[in-house]
Order: sequence, then structure tokens, then C-alpha cells
Amino acid sequence: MKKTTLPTIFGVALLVIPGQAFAYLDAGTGSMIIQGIIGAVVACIYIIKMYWHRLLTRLGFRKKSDDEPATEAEKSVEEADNLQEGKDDARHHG
Amino acid sequence: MQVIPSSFRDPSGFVFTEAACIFRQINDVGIEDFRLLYSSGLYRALTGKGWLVPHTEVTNDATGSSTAALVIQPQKIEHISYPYEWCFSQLKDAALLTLNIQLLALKHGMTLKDASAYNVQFNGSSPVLIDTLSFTRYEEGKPWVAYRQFCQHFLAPLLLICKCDMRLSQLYKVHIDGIPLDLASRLLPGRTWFSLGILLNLHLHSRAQQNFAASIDTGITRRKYRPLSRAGMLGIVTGLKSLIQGLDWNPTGTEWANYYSATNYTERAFELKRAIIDTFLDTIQPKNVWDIGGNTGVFSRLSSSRGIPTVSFDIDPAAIEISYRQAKKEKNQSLIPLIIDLTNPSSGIGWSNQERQTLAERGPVDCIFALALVHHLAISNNVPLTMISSYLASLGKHLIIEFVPKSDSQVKRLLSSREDIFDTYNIEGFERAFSQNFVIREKVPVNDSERTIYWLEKKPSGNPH
Repeated sequence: MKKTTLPTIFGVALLVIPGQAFAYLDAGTGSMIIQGIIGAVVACIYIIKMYWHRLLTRLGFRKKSDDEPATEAEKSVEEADNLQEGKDDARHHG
Repeated sequence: MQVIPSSFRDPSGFVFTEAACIFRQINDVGIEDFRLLYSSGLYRALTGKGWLVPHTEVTNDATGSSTAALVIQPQKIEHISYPYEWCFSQLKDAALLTLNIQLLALKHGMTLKDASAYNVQFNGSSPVLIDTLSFTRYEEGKPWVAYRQFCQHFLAPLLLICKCDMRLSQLYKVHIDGIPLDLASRLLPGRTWFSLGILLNLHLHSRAQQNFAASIDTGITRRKYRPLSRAGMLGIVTGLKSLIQGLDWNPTGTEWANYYSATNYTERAFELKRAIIDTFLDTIQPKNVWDIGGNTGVFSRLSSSRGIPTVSFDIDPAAIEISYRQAKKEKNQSLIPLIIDLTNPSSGIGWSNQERQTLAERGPVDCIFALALVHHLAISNNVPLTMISSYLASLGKHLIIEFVPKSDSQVKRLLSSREDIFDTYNIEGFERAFSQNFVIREKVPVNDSERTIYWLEKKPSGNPH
């Protein structure tokens, strides 16, 4: 990606910068801005997934009882909570 | 009472030692978050999983500080190590631990306020967070204040190791607060721009940092902006988690990865060597062991299997990677494999060169193994035997050391491409040099090989440099 296009992207990104947080570390303005962008990307992906899921449900490819993808973020919390000492992510070591 | 030199950044408290025990003072400013750690149930959840070092509250006013609210005594970590000494999988596990802790913290209404790699230590093969004061109340809408630090301390080095070269983990030694993202972005290959996770969290993150570095002057940061939702925060953390879970590094192509299959020991001599070391351990009964030049930790396991806390050092990241993966499978709680170049061991770095300790400052230990090592130091690196002796005497009390003579094929190989300038490199010269600092307790030739194994004990009046 060319550098010249980045100021434009970040200009738009100003609309989604999260609020300041107080802490002993400097969170960094750029680091907060990029979190806003990623947050927005994540939100877009959720919305697309949700509508895709609803479309598939309406067309009869999925049952209504299937979890909506919007709950995936909370699922990741439960996944972390279900991990036990020594077992976490060992399967990912090729 | 001595304050730990690395414990000064967070005003919530600090760590100090007294009578060889470790304590953490919690200041008034940090007590609310500390109480919340309990009342939210997060402390119990984290310690139950072994993710956070447990502690007990103690009555200790050793600091005499007016800002003290409470003193706790955390469980002591056997050996402090640093990310530039970790192999790829240790760094990856430490990163995943940090992210899992953040997810669990969010469940309990808290968040990590820092994500330093130095806050993670290893109990054997299990990573554990040692900073009890890393948690603060989570307020929906606020971004993750430790995100920048996480990317610099974990994401950038892991990507550089996987996508460029393992040796780039040594950049930690130059950059005390993690690897600058603009540097990582420049070093990473162009194809990494096509991975959404790397693009957002590293390349664009780095550009955003550069673009807004001067924004404080322009007043941009004072404006009110849209908050980051909880779902957005979880999306960032889980995105980082799946990106890091997908990274792998295969220990191939380095010089010692297949050392034990290529050794010139016969099977019988190898078994003899094990038996000799086992007998020495029976007599010495050491409290702790450093196996320097431990390769994949075959001999380190002779002591760790007895429950003796053992650190296995080697210069070869592949050997340490193999050893760590094996230790995880064994659920070995007594062995920590670490990458150390003995010809240039970890030095004191950070503020006043005291934040991160030298290797020697983390000793001395009861017993040192130096097996199949001396010829590498003396011949490949030209270190005189007397200097090897005095350095090893500064690291430990007992020394189990193997002498490999010039007639051994491994030494012949080292001498094949250079002039032999090592007149005193023979068994007499070895014994003379080491007698400066040590007493020879036992000397056992390894049958079926050219080698001899010694048990040496440091002289009471030993004069380490």
C-alpha cells in the first residue's frame, strides 16, 4: 500500500478513535486509532456474518436454533475460561 | 530491604526482597484495583488455572513507606528468564497466556493495563504472569491501553522469528520496551501485507503511530471520539490470538538440531556417561543445577527428573525449541530450557543497566554441568582454560565437567580448518587450570570414548574474578 493513501484512510479513521484511557503507560495515539479501525472492521464482519446467517436460515440451509455469529466474541471468552493449565493451545505446535 | 531495580514504572506498587524472600508493596493508589481483583473472582480464576502467580498477604512494614496500603508475598519463581533467552514456543506460549488472561479479565470486568513480556516467567514448562498489579477496572468504550505494548513485546518479535529469522529475537536486547513496529514493518517480507491480521495489527498500526506521533500538538487527542465497544475489544484480542496461534517455527537447518544422532559417542559410552553423572548427583544432592551447553537437555533431565530445579542453556535455538516442546509433553515442572551464548552471556540492560540481570547475577547455583562444552569455548572461541575455570567458579559450587582431548573426532573437526595454537589444551593443562579455583573430587574416564568426566568442587578460598 502506498504511503500517500494512508493519511486519507487515517483521516476517515478519526471518526472511530476510541476515547482516552488513563494508565501509567502511554497507550499511543496511533495505537488507539488503529484499535478503532480494527474495532470497526470487526463490527463490519459481524454484521455481514449475521445477515449471511439470517439469509441462509431464511433459505432453509440452517436451522433457526444455530447460534448467531454475533455471539462469537463472547464465545472466545468462554473458550479461554475453559482452558486448563498446560493444555492451552498445545495443539498449535506443529 | 532491597527494591528490585526493574520495579519502578507502575506507581501502584513495587517489588522488594528481604531475607531472600520476595515481597510486593501495594500503594494506596493501587489498592482499589487490587481489591477488585479479589471481589471480581478474577484472582481465584487465574490462580486456579496457574496463570497468575499466587501470593499471601503478610504483615511487613519493611519499607516504612507512607504510601503503603498492603504488602503481599508472591510465590517465588525459581529462575528469572527474559524473552531474548526464550525459544519461539516459549515466546508464543507467553503471548497466548497474556491474551487468554486478557479475555478472562474482561469476563470479570477487568483489563490488563500492561502486556510486558517481562511480566511472564516460566515455572518449568508453564508460563505464568508474575505482576499481580497488572489489572485495572474495565470500562466499556475505553481501548486496550496495553495494545501497543503487546504488539511490540510479542507480536512483532514472533512475526520476525517466523517470517524472517530466529536470530531477530535478539533485538529485545537493544529495545527494552519491545521491538519498534516501524522496524518490524520494514523487516517483514512484502507478502505479510496480504494477511489481514498482520496488516492491521502491525503494518497499519506502525503507520498510524508515525502519522499521529505529532498529533498532540494539533489537539487531535483532545477531541471526543466514538468509543470502542466490548465486542470491538474482544475482536481485537481474539484476532491477535488466532493470528499468533497460526504462527509456527520449525527447528531445522541449524547446526545441532540432530546432534544426538550425530554424536561420536557409542550407545554404550553414552549410557556410561549418564551413569557417571547420576552417581555424582547421588553424592552432591544439589539444590539447583545449571546445565550449560545442555543441547536438547538429555543430561539436564537427569537432575530435573529428581525434582531438582534445572536450567538447561544452549546457544542453539533449535535445541532449546526441541527441549521445551519435550518438557511440555512431559509436563516437566523442574526444567527450563533457555537460549544463552556463553561466549557472550546476557548482560545487564535497561535503566542503569540493572533492570534485567546478567546471567551471573541470577546465580550462583549448587551445581553446574559443563558437558562436551570446554572444547567449544577453548578452541572455537580461543578462551584460555584458566579463564573458563574462573568464570565457571563464579557461577556454581560444584562442577561436573567433561574434558574432550585433541584426539577426539569433534576436536579434530574444530582444528581441521585452523592452526593448532593450543599447546596447553591437554588433560594436564586442563587439570592445572581448573585447580586454581576447584578441588578435583572425582575423575572418571568414559570407556569407549576419549573423554573424561570430572566432579570438581570450588575451593573455599576460590578466587572468582
